[in-house]
Amino acid sequence: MNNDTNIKILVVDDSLIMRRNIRKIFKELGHIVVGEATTGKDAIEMYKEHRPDVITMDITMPDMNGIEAVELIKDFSPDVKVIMMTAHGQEDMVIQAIKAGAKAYILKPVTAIKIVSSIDKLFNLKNVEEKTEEYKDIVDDFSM
Amino acid sequence: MSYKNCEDTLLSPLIERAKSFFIEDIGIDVVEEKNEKCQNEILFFYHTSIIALSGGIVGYFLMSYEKLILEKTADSFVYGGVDEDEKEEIIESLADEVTNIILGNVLGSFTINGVDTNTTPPIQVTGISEILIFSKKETISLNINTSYGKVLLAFSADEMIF
Repeated sequence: MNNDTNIKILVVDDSLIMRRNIRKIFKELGHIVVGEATTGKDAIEMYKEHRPDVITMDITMPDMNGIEAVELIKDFSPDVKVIMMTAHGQEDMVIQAIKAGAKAYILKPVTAIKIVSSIDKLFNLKNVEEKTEEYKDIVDDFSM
Repeated sequence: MSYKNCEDTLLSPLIERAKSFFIEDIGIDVVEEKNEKCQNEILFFYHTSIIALSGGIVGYFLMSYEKLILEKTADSFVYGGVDEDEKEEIIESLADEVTNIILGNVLGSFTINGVDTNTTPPIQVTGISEILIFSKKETISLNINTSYGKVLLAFSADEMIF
């Protein structure tokens, strides 16, 4: 990562609409989505190819779920930064995701303010309020 | 678990989350709601998303949507709006995602005797007036009537759950 406005992102989600929304939010925030994957297996291949700074990872997907994919990616890239994005609010699911190596956890529906907060947490950037103020226009547009 | 317990424990959280999603997240008024125990036959609306459940509860959860409510939901949910040439694809994906969010957000209520309930990705059924029969399953359903059309929620599981 060169600076906090130029983060390379890999978006992993089997939902077309979630990939589309996440891509648009990151683009508006000034970041670069380098790839989109729809399964855990594809995510691993695309991670090797693009080496993104951050992965946004859905959990429930066909083929291989997000937790398994993160565990495998961590095996060869222990410092990878992963934001889990899932509709599941079960405590056990959160614990599994953290144990697998996720650094942040967003409960769907995903909003711009949740993404800004997670990126801030991952990179220890400015405090959330300051960051939110900086991105106020985008957050206003994208918050549900 | 009795029907009443099932209604309180499982269906109520789904109903409340569905209502809060449409009212608070999307800005659609909920006019009325009606739930009933049905005879394993469900009349679908235009778009239906079905999620299979395993673990604590074995069964199915589905939500079926009239087209207008999905189009209205897309206005709030889809960032940057929807172009006409991508509308149908987006609407189908939206039905799956809303169903997934509503069930997933309350899945903690589906932990039975310490066993979590797991879900599959949604399966999409498009087309009106289909009737689904879950054999050897009991089904309870709920119609939510909104200012932009109806949404059906149905939960189907082994008879012993009820």
